[in-house]
Amino acid sequence: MAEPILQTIDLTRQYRVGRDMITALDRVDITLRRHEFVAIMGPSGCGKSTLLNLMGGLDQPTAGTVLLDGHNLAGYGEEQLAALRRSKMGFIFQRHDLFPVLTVRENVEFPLLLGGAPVDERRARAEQLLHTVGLADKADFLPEELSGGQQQRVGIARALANAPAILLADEPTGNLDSATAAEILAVLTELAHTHGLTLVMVTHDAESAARCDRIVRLKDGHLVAGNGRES
Amino acid sequence: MTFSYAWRLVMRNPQRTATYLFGLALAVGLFSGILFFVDVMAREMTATALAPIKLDIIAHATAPTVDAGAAAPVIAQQRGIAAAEAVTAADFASAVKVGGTHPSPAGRMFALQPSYFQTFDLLQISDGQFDPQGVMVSEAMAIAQGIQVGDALQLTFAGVAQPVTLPVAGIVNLDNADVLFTTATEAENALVADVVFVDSGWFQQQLQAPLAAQAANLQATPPPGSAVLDPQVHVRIDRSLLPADPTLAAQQTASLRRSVEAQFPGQLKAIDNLSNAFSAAKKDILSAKILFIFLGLPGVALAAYLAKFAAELFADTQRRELSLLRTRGATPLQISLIIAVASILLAIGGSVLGIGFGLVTLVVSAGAQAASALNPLAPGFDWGMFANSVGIAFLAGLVLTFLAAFVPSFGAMRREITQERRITRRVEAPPLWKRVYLDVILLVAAAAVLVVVQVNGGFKPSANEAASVQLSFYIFLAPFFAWVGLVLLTLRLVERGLGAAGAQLAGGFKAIFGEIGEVAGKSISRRAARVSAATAVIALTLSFGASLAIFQQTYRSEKQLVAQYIVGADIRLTPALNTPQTAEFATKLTVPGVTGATGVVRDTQALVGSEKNTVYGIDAPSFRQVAYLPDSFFVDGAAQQTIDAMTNRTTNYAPGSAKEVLDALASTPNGVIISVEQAEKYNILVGDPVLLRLYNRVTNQYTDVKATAVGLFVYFPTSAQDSDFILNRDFMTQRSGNSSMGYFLLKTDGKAATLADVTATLAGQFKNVMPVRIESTATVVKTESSSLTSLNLGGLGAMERLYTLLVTSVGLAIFLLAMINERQREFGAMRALGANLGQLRRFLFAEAATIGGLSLVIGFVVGVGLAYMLVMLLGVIFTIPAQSLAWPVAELALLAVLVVAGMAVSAYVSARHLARMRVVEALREL
Repeated sequence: MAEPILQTIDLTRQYRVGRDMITALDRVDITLRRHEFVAIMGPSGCGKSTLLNLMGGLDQPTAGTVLLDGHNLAGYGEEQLAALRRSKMGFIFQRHDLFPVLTVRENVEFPLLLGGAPVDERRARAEQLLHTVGLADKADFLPEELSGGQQQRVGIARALANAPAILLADEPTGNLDSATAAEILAVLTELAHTHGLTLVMVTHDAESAARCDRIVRLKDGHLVAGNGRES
Repeated sequence: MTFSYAWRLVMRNPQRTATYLFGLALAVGLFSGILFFVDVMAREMTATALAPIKLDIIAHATAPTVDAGAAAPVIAQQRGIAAAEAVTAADFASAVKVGGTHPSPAGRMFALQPSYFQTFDLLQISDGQFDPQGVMVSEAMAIAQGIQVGDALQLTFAGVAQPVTLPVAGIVNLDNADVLFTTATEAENALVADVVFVDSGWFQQQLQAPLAAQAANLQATPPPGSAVLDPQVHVRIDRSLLPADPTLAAQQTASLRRSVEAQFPGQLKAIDNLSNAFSAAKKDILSAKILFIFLGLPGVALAAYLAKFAAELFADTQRRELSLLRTRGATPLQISLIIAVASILLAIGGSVLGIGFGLVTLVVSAGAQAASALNPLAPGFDWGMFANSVGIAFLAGLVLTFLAAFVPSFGAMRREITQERRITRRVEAPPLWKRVYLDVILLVAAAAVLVVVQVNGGFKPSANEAASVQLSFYIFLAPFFAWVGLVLLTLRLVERGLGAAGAQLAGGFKAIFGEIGEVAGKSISRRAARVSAATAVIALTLSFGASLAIFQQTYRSEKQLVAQYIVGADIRLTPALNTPQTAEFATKLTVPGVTGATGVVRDTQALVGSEKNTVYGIDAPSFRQVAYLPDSFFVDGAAQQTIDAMTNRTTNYAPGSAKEVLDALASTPNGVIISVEQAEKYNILVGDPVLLRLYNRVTNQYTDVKATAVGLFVYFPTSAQDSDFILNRDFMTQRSGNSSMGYFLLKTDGKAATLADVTATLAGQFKNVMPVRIESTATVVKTESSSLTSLNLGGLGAMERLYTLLVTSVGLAIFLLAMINERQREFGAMRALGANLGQLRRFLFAEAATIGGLSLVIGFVVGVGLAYMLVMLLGVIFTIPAQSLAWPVAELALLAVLVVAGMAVSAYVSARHLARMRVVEALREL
């Protein structure tokens, strides 16, 4: 069994809405292992995206712990978290969130640019990834000139640019038609396998989830199945 | 219900409402500030126009039997009248100093109360004091007869058997007393030099009865201007109760005059001395209003754009809120009403805030003077004028809100209703102005107006000293069209330039800001429309501030130059004709503070051909050390260009130099330098002989003088007094036989304090010895202060500087925050992908530096161009057209520093905003 890469222990997130306190996640314990593909499923508002954001260090838990490679993220400041995301994580967003003023190639280069990679290295890496996702011929296009599926493929290439250990995808096929969604999922899983990544994917879609090694189920902020400890 | 929803729409997002109100308040504030400033100026201009008038109303009795002494107290009780004094005028046949030898001409006696000297600031006692048993004599009479306090004066009246003899109790200066000689029937005053003043009680006892009898027995009508016995009531109006508007003030004064007459029907005929001053002030105020409003209009337009931009910032949020209402079943009509009511609420709030802002701005920039002029508790506060300005400003706020808030919101609602898909600006069609090339059209229109103004002679200077100048409304269309055209052209060019310079920007910014600079450069290039909009607003605001600063500096410097040109030097002292002085008198004028003095001969009776012309004689060596002689006054008379210009009657003369022309005059004893105007008229070129006929006052004969033209000039110091022919002084005095100087010019260090000191010293030294007139650059500016040339633009400038600072700094912050607001998701994604705050700060700073840097360059270039255009167009208000712009270096530098500081603070504030941004919230659906 592969060693754990990311663990959550008693992870809790509450929000204040007016005078009420809403609990989005309630003492969730999950363990993710290296090279594992995990789907997070559950009805709307059950805390899927909240869990993903906490795993990625984009949000701070109200209580509990997130351990990445054994390091507690609670001890990291904003800038350290940013550096951690830059070096170890890749993000894929539902709405792609490509930078509209950058070309496809520049979008893929962006995480490397933040890390200070030399231009040649950035360029070569971007071209390789675009070739991999089948968009080498669109390198100089602006995102608005691409279809939704193509944009998401660019998003996948960008997420892989800095060779992350863990890839966090928030409903990557949520905005796509079923055929395109299947295509994107195929690309994603193949690349994750090829690059030996740990993939965590929030999804509503049972078919997409079925492609994963494990399905984590959430309901009303509680983990109801697939915490990974049992395996 | 509708109001309740509208109120919630306004209050739901305080940030949105506050941003919008700020933009609107800025626009309304500047506009109302200008209106209030014009009101204050109107009050000042009216007061300045009235200042020289020392006696407001004179009511002449229609018959010698009318009892003015009884009428005066009744008139004084009337509301609006501050004081009334009875005065009786009677002409004497002769006045002789007892023991004197000088023959005396006829003159006039005024009988008045001792309080008259306090009630009216008309008669200045230069020696002695008023004595009910004595007589006071005018300075001119005292000088002519050598009368001193303590002498006795014998006066003879026609029809009165016995002459009266009185001790001389004092000497009175009548420099400000021309109005005393106003008659009830003549249009012009019939001035009298020999004047005496006696107590009215003494007059009643000694002269009233015999003169009344004489008046009753007159066989023939007395000559115009003469007074056998003329009872009068002199009236001082309470000017603090007059409205600031000269038209209304003139009406009120006329009404007071009529009511004075109505109280004593058929007995008094009142003359209002203020009416001319009111009509001059009215013309000047109208011109001032046009000038101020047009100078301020670009700022108002900019602020309006800022308000519109602020409204657009939150258009998406509002659109979603309205969509929500639609989904809950609100009809389009209901939503329209909600938008309309919300817009009205915003309009009221913004206009009220703006009017308050305008008042505060005025008081901050124009100081205590403005504050007191706008004090509603002050007597005579013009509520009508204030209400008028508030009403106009409020209306402007409504119109701006309609354009900035209602129209975009209503458009958004219509798009929602028609189920149009929201599309990004990038793929929208270019705006209408771009497609129809409105920028080019406006610039062509501006050029056309300039040409029309040029063809109509709009740039020709006024020849009359201290004349009231009229400005045509359409003159200001040129800078306004140019300015709006430049706004749009700047937008077009900056957008195009940034779009084309992506690679260069990325490379440059990478070198400055590191790797993230490369992204910033590309982002700026590909978001050129937004960046160019921000740049255009900041640049044009800056150009507005810079052009006004340069124009005002040029205006101030022109005022000083015109004053020097009119006076001829710093101070001019003119002796009276009956006390002539030779050139040596100049040495007596070199009192402390005077660095040079020169006498100038003046012959107003000289003939050139058969026409009378004033000929001057100067001592070139001393004259050039004292007089104001810029090279721009002279032309190169020998140059072919000048000859061609004279032939073709154009003004394209070859530039000359003061030194060369005066050297030529000094080295040619019979040389004459001539104004180009006269040279053209008489067809005289340099080197031509000129025959002049000088008047000899001793022999009362003309002497023919053959001179040689050695130089030409366009303007000559004091040439506002028609100095067209200038000879060497020695040559002129020898040939004419007249060695008395027309006036003396004095040079000082030019400082106001020195001018005042020297003027006071000279007045103290000579005023009681001989009648002299002393003018300085300071007094010339004051006496012209009712005309446009002397408008105080300082207050307006301060107000607009404050505004420029606000728009450039706060405007830049609004733009940067707006750009962050628009790109919340982008910045959120950047953070998620690992961008640190330092990188985001540098990214923001690159954008701010682009907008700020471009704004500085474009702002100053356009500002200089606009200033040049304003100076060219408004050259009409200067006697001498401005040759070049005057540079307020410190002010421009301050403006640049403020923009850079505003840019830095804006970038810092934006960066802090970004630092507080929660990535998860930014990435959520907005």
